[in-house]
Amino acid sequence: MSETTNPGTANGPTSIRSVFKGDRFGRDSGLFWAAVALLALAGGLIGDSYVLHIFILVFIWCVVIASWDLILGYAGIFNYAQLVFFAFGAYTAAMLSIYADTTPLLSIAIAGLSGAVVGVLVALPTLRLKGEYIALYTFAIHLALPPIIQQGRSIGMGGNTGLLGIPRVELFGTTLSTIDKQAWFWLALAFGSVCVYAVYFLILRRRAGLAFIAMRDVDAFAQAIGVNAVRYKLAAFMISAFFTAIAGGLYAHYTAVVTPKILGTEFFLMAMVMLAIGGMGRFPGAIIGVFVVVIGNELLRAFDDYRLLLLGIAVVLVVIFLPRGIAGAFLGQGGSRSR
Amino acid sequence: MSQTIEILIGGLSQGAVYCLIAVGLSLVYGASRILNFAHGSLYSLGGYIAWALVVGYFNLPLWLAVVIAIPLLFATGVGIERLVIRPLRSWGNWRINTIMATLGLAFIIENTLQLVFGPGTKSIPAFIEGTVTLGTITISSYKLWMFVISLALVGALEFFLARTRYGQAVRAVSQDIQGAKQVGVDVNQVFAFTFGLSVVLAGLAGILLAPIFLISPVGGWGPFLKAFVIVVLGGLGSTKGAFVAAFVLAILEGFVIFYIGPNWVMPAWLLVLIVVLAVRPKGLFGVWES
Amino acid sequence: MLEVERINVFYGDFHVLHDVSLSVAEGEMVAVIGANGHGKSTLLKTICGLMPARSGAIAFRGREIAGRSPPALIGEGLVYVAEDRRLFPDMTVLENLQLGAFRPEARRHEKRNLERVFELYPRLAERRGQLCRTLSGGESQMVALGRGLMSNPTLLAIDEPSLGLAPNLTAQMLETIATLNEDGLTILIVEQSIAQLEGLIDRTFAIEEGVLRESAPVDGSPA
Repeated sequence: MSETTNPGTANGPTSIRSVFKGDRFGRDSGLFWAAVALLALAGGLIGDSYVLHIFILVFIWCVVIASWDLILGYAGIFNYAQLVFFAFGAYTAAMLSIYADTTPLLSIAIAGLSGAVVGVLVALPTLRLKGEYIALYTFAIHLALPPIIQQGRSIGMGGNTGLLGIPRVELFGTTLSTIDKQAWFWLALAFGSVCVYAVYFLILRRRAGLAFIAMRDVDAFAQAIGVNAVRYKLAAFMISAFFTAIAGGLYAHYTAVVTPKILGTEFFLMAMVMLAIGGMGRFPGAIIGVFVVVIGNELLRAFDDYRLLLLGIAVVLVVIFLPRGIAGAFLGQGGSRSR
Repeated sequence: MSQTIEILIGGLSQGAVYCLIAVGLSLVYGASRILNFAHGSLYSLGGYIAWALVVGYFNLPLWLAVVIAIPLLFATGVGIERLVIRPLRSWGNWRINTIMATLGLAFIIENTLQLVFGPGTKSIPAFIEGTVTLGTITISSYKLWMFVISLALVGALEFFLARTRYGQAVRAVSQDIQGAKQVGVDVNQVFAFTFGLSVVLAGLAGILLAPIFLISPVGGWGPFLKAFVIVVLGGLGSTKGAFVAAFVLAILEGFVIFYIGPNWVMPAWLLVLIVVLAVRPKGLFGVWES
Repeated sequence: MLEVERINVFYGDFHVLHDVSLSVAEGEMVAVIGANGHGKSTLLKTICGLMPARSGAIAFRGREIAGRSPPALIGEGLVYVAEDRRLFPDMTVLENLQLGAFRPEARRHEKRNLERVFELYPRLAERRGQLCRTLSGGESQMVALGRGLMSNPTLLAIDEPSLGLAPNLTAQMLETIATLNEDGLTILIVEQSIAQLEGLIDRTFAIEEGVLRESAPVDGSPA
């Protein structure tokens, strides 16, 4: 806004260092997989199917939020069309499984790939846009999608009622119905951990991650050192949309139902709260955010009338009092107030 | 022929109200670089305040309700700026955080309205009934008044920005904050003032459109989405751009509804938006670098 | 008129000014000379309330002013002209000048000050209706200085007026500033080199890595 050049450049190197602890890559990977193993073990011990269900949702959300964090938190692109990718993946996978008789796992894979294509298509107009213009444009796409889905009734998108009776996933010769919570728990955990690992470790800790952060913090500098902004913007959208669409496909096959509700206020709000509470651009903030919010949201079920209101209040309060999220407050290297 | 003219006139009257919603959004962005995602819910809030005063609880005449609503809306805007936006400004990531906060705020207002007034729609009776006939053309008197009132309000805003010293200060802040501070403009006061003003404009639009579009807790998203297509098309921060874009898009809307159907309005708007942004990434009149 | 007592200023964790003390008497023209990045602008901005000092005291006309807001300081007559001009690009020359008189204290003298500025720079009178984004560097600097005068200053703090100007334009600009000083305006000016200021100023301070020292009196000998 004013001349905040100093914080920008001062911020840059520190953030980059915090992500690029190349020497700690192995240690952090080990910690990550140990946490996943613990969760997998826990899955065997939890008998309550409701609790399992909540964890399945957590794992699916983790993929969406990690992908969103990649583009919003790390690459600094104000993309608000994340749930569009999710809905696209859910619908594509569901329709392939229902109408084309594709094996569900293949449907999900195809949904991921076509999601990547949609990501690029959404990204193309943003190449010429800056900052808030991107926020407006992408959120407009989000808001414009539900009416289009309703128009899509004629091509089998089910309109307002959505798609019902999505075929079950088959794995190693057994079919997993929505009630097989334990199996779904492990499947979702496997999917989720692989995707999250890919986003935070394989992508963001490599050259691409450095380029994203450089683009976010000092755009001109990034271009000066030869970061091809166009390529990395497209890549950010593509990767982000790919994983999110996979999560959508998985979600569709888990719940066996897809409705335009996944583009509704509640989902969008939830996703935002997760990012805000966890803290953007600082792993594992966003992932912690997912656990806190999904579980917190379930605890709020008792106050259903006030739940959305409380979520809204949570976003505002968290942004005001923990501007860098849980990760920023407890794991970050102090605040970097500008001005 | 007269069909076309009726659509044009309908579009002009609609455009004037869209303009009212959009200029407020643009004004705030111009002065403080805040994109207020709660703008639509504040539009709904205006409608509900008037409904509560006129229909729901008090049976006041509409003009009195408007007189009461204006300071309430202004105070709401100033309060939001002070309590929610201002604390975020001192942080490096304020741009993303203000988007988050105003989106959260939108959901707070929307859900509060739903809890207080229920999910159903409400309506305020039009203050004038009947139609005006000019030759072969017939338009509703209310729409004519809506056009006049909106245009007068937007005109007053333009006059304020162009001709008064405080209006100059608002423009100064939008063009160079540091420079504005140096000449002694209280920048925080301008931020709060413009926010309050934009909420008043949005709320008045909500009241004006209540007899036509009805009031509902989530009813603000439609006008908001339209306002921001207008603002982006016109160029963020340019009130003149918002003015032109509002009429262009409203007339387009009239023709699309008549010839294709109401469901195609938003796709048509977005198409225009994407085409314009492809040619001019900062909209029609957007020139300021943030 | 201006007394700065051991101020310390930080930018984040970076210590910019170290125990800087400085005084300017009424009617003086004082220069602070230093290279880029040594804290010259920070010093001016701190004095004018645009940046906070972490410790130390600043008194203007006998009153403590540290921590007061820029609008209040302008009302007192302490006015800052920025090195990067900070004009409002999409407003006319006249509007920019009028905004200089935004504070009520300055508004009272607006008419007289505007006449004075146009007298000083007839070129600005000719271009009063032109948008500032279309002005040349020299004209922009005239508007910046003019806008500062419109605030009805008793002390004008000018930050590197020569920045981006050709040497002959710089010389004219500094002449004008010296004339203003002769007419009674107290001036605190910041520059990178003393060369073009010689003979115009009363006293010089040198700033290096945030430490300020008064230089030997200017008597024609090289600084």
